[in-house]
Amino acid sequence: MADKTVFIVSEDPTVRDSLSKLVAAAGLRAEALPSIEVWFRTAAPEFPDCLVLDTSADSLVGPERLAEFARACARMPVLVLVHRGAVQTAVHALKHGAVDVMQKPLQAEILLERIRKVIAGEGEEDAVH
Amino acid sequence: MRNAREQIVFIVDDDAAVRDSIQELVESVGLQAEGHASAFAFLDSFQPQHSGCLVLDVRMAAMSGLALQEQLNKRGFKIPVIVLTGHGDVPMAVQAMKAGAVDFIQKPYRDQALLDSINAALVLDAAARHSSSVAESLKHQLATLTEREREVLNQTLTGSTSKEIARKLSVSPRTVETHRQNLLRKLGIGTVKELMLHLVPQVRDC
Repeated sequence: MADKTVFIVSEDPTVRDSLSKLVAAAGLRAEALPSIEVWFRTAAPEFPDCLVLDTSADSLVGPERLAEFARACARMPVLVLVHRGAVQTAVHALKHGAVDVMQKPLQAEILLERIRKVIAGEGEEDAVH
Repeated sequence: MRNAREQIVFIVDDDAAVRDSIQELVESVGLQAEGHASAFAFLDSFQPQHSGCLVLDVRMAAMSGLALQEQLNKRGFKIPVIVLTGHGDVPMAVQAMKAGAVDFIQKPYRDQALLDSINAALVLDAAARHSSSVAESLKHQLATLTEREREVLNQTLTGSTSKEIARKLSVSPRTVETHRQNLLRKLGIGTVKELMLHLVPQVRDC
């Protein structure tokens, strides 16, 4: 599992930083990016392992952004983090192919456990958070 | 009796005012609607051959919307479900979507947003029914084939020539040709090429 890369996408540098540290401390490789658009332009390996998208209120708004998100979901399992009460964002994410949606704030261990399962291909299980 | 092709928007909500207002909205755009005051009432009257979609309130006294969703899944009913809620939160939305809901809409909703979602669900149901009826009729046609015809069909689908099939089945190529003509006729298909083009994935699924 050590050779697996978790792409961390957030427009917030603080979140990028803390999630990267968390993932790295768990022995996984972390690569942080400000947006999915940048992921497609610069990172996008042929067989990506997993992407964690930290959403803000307008992350998954508008047809272009949703289409891009759906394209990313077709390439790899995408785990989406939403703010408490961001029901619309959660629904959009699942409609467009997110493997799971988790509500912040999150315990580090719960998030890591989910990331590990997603990478291991157990993303489709019906865990609800 | 209703025409089986007519789609119905089923509305399950224990609040009569909400039920009526959705029904009015749905009927105002020329769609058929049918309201039920409880999940049980809906389950009692619902027939899986009805095409349509279900607009479902989450919070109901006897059986919740999410429990009804579970029941539908358990019974293999594939009607698309739109979950409607006045008190939605992220875990509830995630649960409903993972149980197969096509949408999760919070009250107060915009009329147009609900109608858009209903229309998308109706299109989805019609498409699913069409593809399953194509598969179903093919299954019936396949059942009319003799054992030999079925063997010839399977061999043909793997790309074997008449000669190769004849050798494998220890018959003359001419006999293979006859079987092939018969099975094409039974399946209502003109040529082997057509068979390969259109039916390979479906026959394999049957």
